[in-house]
Amino acid sequence: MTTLRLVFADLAADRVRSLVAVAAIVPIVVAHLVLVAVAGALADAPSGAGRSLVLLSTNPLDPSTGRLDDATVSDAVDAAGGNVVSATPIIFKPVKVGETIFQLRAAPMSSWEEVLGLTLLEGHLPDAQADEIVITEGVASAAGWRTDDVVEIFGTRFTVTALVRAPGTKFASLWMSLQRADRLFEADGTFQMASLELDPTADPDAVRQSVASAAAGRYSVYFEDELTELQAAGLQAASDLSILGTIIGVAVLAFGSFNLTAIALTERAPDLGVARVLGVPRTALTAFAAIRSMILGLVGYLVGATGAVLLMSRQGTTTLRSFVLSPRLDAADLALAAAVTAGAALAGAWLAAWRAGSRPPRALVESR
Amino acid sequence: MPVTPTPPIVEAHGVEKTYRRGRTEVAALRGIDLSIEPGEVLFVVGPSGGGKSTLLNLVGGLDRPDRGKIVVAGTDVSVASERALDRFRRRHLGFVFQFFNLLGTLTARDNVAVALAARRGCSWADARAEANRLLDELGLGARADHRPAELSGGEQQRVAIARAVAGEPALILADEPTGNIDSAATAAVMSLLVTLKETRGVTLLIVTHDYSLRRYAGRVLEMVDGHLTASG
Repeated sequence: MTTLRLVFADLAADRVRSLVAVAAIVPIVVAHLVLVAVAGALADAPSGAGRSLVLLSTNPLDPSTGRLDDATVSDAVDAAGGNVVSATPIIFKPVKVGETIFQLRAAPMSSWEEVLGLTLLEGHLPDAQADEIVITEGVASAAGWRTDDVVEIFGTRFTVTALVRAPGTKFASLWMSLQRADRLFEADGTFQMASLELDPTADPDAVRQSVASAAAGRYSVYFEDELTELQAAGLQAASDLSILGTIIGVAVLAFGSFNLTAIALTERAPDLGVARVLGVPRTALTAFAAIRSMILGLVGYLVGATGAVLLMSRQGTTTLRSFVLSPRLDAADLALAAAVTAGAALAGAWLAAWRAGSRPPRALVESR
Repeated sequence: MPVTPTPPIVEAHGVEKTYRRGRTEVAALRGIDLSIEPGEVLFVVGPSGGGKSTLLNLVGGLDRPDRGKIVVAGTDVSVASERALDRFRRRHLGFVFQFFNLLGTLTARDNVAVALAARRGCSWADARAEANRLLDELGLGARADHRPAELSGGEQQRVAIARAVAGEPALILADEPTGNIDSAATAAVMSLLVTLKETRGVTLLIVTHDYSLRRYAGRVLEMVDGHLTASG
């Protein structure tokens, strides 16, 4: 208790120095927590959407250059031997809005709810022939678009009629009817992808093999979740980078704490010497410095964590390429960060104080 | 009934200490023999750089001799472990420095209380209560809540003396205790130190370059070029 009282008395006596120490820790904590939150969101990003089959005529990483037609899809359905419940053609184009790239998807509107699982959140579904689109929450968040806004896409002005949610995907996407997209892109009945919904009793792997053997080079066959994972592979690498960033953040926190304490102890070496002269053991002085540093670290953590939580609540989602990321901090992240902050501050201070205390008391006193 | 003689509180034999400054070796102490009886007020006078402070540091266990043996209050401080020296200083020693060396972030009361808490292992509340009593005794009760920067040099040195006697150590070592205060404060500080010998029975070892302070001493030794001699 005496050590704690002395620590608090010491911190209160030199408020400016204490505030500077806290201020040095806050941005490190914020950066650490944001990195952890983003890393978590990136790890979550590549979620699939079941075991539907997707036909593509091109590289799965860039389906927009593909070209399929009804006859090809019909052949694939035949090859599936009655195991396909529905076949949905999809026009797929990337749309750049500002610095963000969204996915434009177009499919027959009859499939939106039943097959593709779009849920209407607000507004109404568009007229299939009119210049109308709907947007997902990711687009609304990233582009700031709202229902009834008029936006320009590929040189045409479209009215946003609804906000929708597309379950099972993290892509920020715009949706329009297949007919309207066909006219917009002058596709002449061609499209980039086709989604084959399989009978629940079918063996997906066997059906895939049958469909693939009938392709004759015209298309490739993927499970929908497999395709999503392929497209999100870049994000997985980014997720790994975020973990690396988090580790670096922890190291910076530990070294920052060590250096802050080392500088503080160098400045106050004479005080350490006086304490040694009074007979205060080296371990007690080291504990004093470590507790002091840990308290500063925890105050810095509280301020930094509050800042990080506020930052994330202000911007709930962010869009990286066309992926919608929702950085989030759960209790485990916050607890881990608190433990890391306290532990790093304690360890850094302990090492610095122990090293400072290795000098003879005379040398410490005379360093004034 | 035979009377058992009280052993000296400080006994040093053949103490040598050399410092290295760059490539130069400076012999600070050259074979010092010293004995101090309990309750004695011993002054070591001499010019600056003569080895006085080195002697004080060695007696206090703040540094170790290169050769020789120093036994203080039954502890051989020339070979004792760091932990034993910490314990020795806590139990037996009080220090008074030329530049006071009070902890700047603490009040006068808390500076004294830290020493009490360290030496007695008592609670912080008890240490502060005892510190108040001690500061009152030394006429500093009204200044207990002030930090060192708010005190005059003389007041700071009296607080340092209060800290040195807190916990009632047997030996007080004072290194140029009046070296940084004016003449009026010098008289007050020296009177206070000598009074402690009368009221508390402590032994005082005071080093100073100020020969005029010899009048406060019970015995005076002179330190010149690392040699200790009786002073005329």
